[in-house]
Amino acid sequence: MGRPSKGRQRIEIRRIEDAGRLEVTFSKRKSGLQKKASELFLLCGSPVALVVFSPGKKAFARGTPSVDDVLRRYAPIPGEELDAKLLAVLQDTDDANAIADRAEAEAIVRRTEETRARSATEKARMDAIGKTVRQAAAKAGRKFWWEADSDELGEDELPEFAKMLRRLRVNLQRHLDSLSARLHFPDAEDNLTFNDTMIALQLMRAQFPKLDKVVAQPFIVQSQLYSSVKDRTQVDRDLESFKRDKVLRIFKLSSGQDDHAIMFMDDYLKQVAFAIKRSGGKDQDGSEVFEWFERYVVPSKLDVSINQLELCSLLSRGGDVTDKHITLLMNAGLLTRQLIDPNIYWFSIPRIGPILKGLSQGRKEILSLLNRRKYKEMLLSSLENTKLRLSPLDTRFLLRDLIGSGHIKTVQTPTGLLARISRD
Amino acid sequence: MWLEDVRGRERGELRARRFEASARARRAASLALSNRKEFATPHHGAVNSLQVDLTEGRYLLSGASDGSAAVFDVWNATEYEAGFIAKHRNILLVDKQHQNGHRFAVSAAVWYPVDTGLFVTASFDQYVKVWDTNSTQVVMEFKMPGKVYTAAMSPVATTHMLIATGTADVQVRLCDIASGAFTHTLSGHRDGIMSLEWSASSEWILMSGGCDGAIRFWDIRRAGCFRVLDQSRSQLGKRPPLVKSAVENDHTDSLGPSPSTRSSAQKRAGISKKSSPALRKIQNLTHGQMQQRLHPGLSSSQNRATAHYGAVTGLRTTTDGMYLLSSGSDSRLRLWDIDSGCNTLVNFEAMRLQTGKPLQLAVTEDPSLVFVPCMASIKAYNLWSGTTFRTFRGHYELVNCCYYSEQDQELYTGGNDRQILVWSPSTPAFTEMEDDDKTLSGADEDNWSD
Repeated sequence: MGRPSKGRQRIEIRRIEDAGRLEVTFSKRKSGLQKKASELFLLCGSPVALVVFSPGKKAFARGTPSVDDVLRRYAPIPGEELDAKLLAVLQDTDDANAIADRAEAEAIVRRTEETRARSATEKARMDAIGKTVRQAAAKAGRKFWWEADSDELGEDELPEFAKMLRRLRVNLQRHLDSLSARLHFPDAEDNLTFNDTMIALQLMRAQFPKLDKVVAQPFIVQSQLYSSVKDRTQVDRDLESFKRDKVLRIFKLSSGQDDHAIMFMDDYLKQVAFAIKRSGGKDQDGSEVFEWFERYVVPSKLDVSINQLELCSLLSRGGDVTDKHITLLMNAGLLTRQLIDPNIYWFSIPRIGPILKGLSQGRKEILSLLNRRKYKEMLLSSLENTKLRLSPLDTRFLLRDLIGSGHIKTVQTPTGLLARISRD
Repeated sequence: MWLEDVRGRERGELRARRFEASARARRAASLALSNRKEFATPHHGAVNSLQVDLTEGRYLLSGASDGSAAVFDVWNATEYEAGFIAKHRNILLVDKQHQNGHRFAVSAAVWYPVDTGLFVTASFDQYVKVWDTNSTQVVMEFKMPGKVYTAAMSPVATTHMLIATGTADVQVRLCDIASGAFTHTLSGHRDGIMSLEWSASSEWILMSGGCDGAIRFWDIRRAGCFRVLDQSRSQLGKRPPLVKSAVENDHTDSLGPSPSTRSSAQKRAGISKKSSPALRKIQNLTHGQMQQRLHPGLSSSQNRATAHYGAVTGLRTTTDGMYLLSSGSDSRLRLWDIDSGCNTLVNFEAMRLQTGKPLQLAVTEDPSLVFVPCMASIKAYNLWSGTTFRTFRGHYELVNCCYYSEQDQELYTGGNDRQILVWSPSTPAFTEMEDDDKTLSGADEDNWSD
């Protein structure tokens, strides 16, 4: 039938020669013997005392109610007849004591059983709740239990669900804090890789550099993700599924190289609102196009670019579209054109010009800094402490991007991580 | 490991095919610069194209930038250096001195797929020439309207002998050797064509990659292309999902009917019902666009979907004909599922690719590794996960082409340094000393001991 092991076998009752097996057998059988002794007292009311000496010459004594009690009662030490009074008391109230002892022991045992039963029922209840939550999550098509639709859960699941969510949040915050603390000291922890794209995205969003004069919602450059998550194909596939679920949007940056920026949907909408306000607000004529854009174009077109026909057809669900409307969109920075194809409009993050400039300048500066050195390498810790002259962005942001795009590679050395220009 | 496999084969535990596949895979994984074989290249210019003939796997054809094409015998060396290093000299050379030779660089040289009696060369002097191998004479030549970047012949063709050529002109031309004329002109690309590949499963399907970044699939029995690969249409994984999730076709596809068995009129009625007010408004607004009448199953030539953000510089199918690899001048390598036309989103690690020239990629037969020329080295990637398997450094300058010979498990690469390098499965050092008459047991012997 293909059983994994042969199960319990009969063994020969002889002294075991092998020392290891001897000790294991001793401890297992000793505990069994002690259990049987206590059961005998409970079932038949007979006081039992058990003394066992282990192969290591240790003594284990067990008795109910206690070893001393039993022995003094039934096998009195000759020198202790002076305490005959005590002994007599013990002997007289033998039955009462025994009954009291037994009652107490039984009470303890009962309490233990009750607690065990209670914990079992509680566990069963939590399991049932967990199953319901997971089913609700699966029904909504989500992978994780915390994405379960709370309307689907019943009233006994909701409090537990809320408690678990709070606990998850606390754990996640703790994890993020520890990770960000770790990243400040890279030579202490050289393992900068995670295996979840969303964790990496959240972490990098939290560590987005804050510039003085620019108000911008955080975004992540795609090559930064590759420096933190090992499996690039999985990152791409996760990004694709997040994009389809409208959790985030991907934009092609016009920096000349193949750069993409990732922004969470709510951050993007906030940035769009800010850009609209800055570009002239809602009191220009034609400004209803901003609302059409947000309502019709953003939710339905999830790609990085859109061609003219489709843009017009989507916008015209709101009303008549003229060229002036598209001009307004371009002036606000929501759409751009790139050299690749004149008929295609590209979605863009508005008002991040200084950041993009800082990105390209910073890349060049770090690469030239490394190239000037004799062996084109530098310790990562000292690199992170250098202040860049031409770029306001912090070095860690730029280093992640350079490592992920392959210009710099990191090498583990006894003194920490080393960053080196990678030759092709 | 060899020994265990052989014993397993003896006892019948390992099947013949399994044994063969594992032996090939092991040899492919141990590729290194060959220490017993080299080619003495006669070229005075960069080597642009390499191909071993498909019938025997014996003759290597190379085309170079000085207008010369040469043939080498891969199995038998012409001489042996130092006793065991095989030196292969060219058996045949056609260059500028030849009375009908090319005047400018040869960009592609391919064998006639049926036998080694003919080979075809394409050159920047706008000519495609067909040569007879034995007499080394030009049998036929075709004049093209622009510099010819690539030429290809279908390896599974039985009913036609067409050479597909891609030039700096926007049309793909098919030349017929049997009649000496152009049979087809395929239009649809908006810029020159840098790479062509025939399908490995059908003799009628041709894939072309252009400088506009589009990859088009053509069925040469019909008039237009039936698919354009779009990098934003993607599938998560090797196989397309069973339930077709809402993959929204862009509106240019909806101008013409998508490939389906329903009649075109019904489909157009269906689309117009959905978006008729919007469609009418579009037609009022965009005066420049013309409504194109399309046959069922064909894709519009106004479909501007791109497969890469730059030019498509190299195309290669896997030998089972199910996947297509494309390299672009945006330094990306993409793997496409041919059946569904989707990008499989395999991310091949960072690389810098040459942008101006067509590149030749190579794939192993059980498609597990893909060899890509990256600047001055060749990188081998795992096909399904995109991780770098190995980097082969040996060329002094940029590498242009690589060819993997499945029969011997050897990789031939050619570059701007005019060399053709051989990478073969590495053998342990002690077997080289064949004329050493001491009996060594390799395990307890080192290079110093007597």
